[in-house]
Amino acid sequence: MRSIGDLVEVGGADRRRRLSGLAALALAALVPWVLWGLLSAPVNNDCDGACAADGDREAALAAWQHFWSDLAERGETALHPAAADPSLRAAGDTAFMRYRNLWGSIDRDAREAFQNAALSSDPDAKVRLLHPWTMAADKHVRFRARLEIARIHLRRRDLAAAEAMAREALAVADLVPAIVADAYFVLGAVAFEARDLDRAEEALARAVAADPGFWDARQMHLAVLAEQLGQPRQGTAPCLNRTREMIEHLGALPALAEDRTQYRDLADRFALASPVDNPALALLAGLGYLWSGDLGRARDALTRAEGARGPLPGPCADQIRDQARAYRATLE
Amino acid sequence: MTALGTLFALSLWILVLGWAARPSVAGHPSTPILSAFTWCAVAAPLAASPFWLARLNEWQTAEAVTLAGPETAYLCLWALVLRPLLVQRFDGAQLVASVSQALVAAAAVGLAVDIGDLVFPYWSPSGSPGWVEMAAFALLIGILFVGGLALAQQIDATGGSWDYPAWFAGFLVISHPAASWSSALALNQGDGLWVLSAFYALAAAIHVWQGSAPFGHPPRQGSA
Repeated sequence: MRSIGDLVEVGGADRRRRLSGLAALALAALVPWVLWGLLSAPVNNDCDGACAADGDREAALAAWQHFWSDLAERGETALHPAAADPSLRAAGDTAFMRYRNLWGSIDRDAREAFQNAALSSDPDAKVRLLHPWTMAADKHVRFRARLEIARIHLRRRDLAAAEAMAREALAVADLVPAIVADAYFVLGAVAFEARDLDRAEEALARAVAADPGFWDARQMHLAVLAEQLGQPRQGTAPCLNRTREMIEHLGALPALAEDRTQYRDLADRFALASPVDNPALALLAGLGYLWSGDLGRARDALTRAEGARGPLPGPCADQIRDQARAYRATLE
Repeated sequence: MTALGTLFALSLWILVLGWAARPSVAGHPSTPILSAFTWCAVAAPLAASPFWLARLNEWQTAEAVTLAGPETAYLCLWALVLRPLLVQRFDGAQLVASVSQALVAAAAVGLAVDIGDLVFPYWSPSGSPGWVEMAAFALLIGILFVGGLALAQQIDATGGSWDYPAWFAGFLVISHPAASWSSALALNQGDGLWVLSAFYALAAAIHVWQGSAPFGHPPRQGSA
């Protein structure tokens, strides 16, 4: 004869049986979809996320090693941007300020409208003056009017309007890359202001790629990358790429400004602003001091980079520490 | 591991649950073979899931693991400690039961993410799912939740399943950065409160449907 406990157990088993049956039927309904997904999947689907991550890591490592061998071979001049256009000036956050010859062929009315807008101290009046030119026939005028309005919105911290107008500027076709860089710069500044670091990093990288002579874009990209390198939970590939790009900016900024004291300013910035144990920022400070000629501080910063155990993923931190060790050895 | 692993794990779940649903087996709930197969069904998605394997690979290569931190699922952690606090009892048996349910929940979440990644990219090449796809995501997660709950009940025959919804919701919330489609459902919003509430509500509804007290153990009585 069964005990009450056994009867309760059988009742519980019956309830579990009903749930198991229901679950089995519901799961069976998924099988056709899974089969369809399998048949529709690319042939090489046996890698999934792990292979993509491995590929990114290997590519980043290859770029990292190539970068350091180039630097060892050519010194810091390897980081100086090639100045193909003799009209390039370091200062100026629009291409028309940086490249004087871009604006030369603009007709007189448009030129006066932009000058009047520049002289006005009222942002609304500036926008009113510029707005008719956003639909001008000349693509350069059209682009610059949209870009200037985007910059006015950015200064007023109207980020949505600034982004919308910068995107309208990007919609203008057939522009030289140096001009397009300006619109990406506004997008990057908007994203940085909104604390969207990923979008800021991407937009500013595009700005620098479009115009390597863009000092302001490099400067802001450097700031964004430094913040990104302080974030926890980043992958090895982004960590290596960000560190490399920061060192590229460190080498390019003083060259663009024709002012070697910027090495020291930047080194101070990362040495003082990174009390946290971040090997990437310490390496950057060390290289800045090294290239500015301050060997004592360079040694200290590189020693700090060697011992740092900061927030970076292990393989990335190891690579950085190896470079710091190699540079410090040259100072002994 | 190929996506075939996902199909294998899903098939194993269907077989085990289908077997457990047979009346002859239900009359003898502690069948050792069924118990062994149930554990195999739990182990299969953990061992073969591309989602969990990718996380394991990240961990082995000292890469940052693409999971949100446990702090993002702190409400789920609170739910896990709530019952021991309320009943003022925490012993080894409860710990083992909770860990078992955690393994089942991890397997169910891994299977849900793998199936989602396998099926949904082809529904929405643009990567911006519409409401039909979002409803399908929710249905998929719900089905895997119920499947996992059924397996958890097979493993813990005493019927205690307070911890399973909390584990399931917690794993879903921390898997958010690695499961691209889960952002459509904003599973990590509100500190995971709505996800946690939804799974407890679903589990309570299932217990009521089963005719047992929600999350309660069946009364133990002495032999007649």
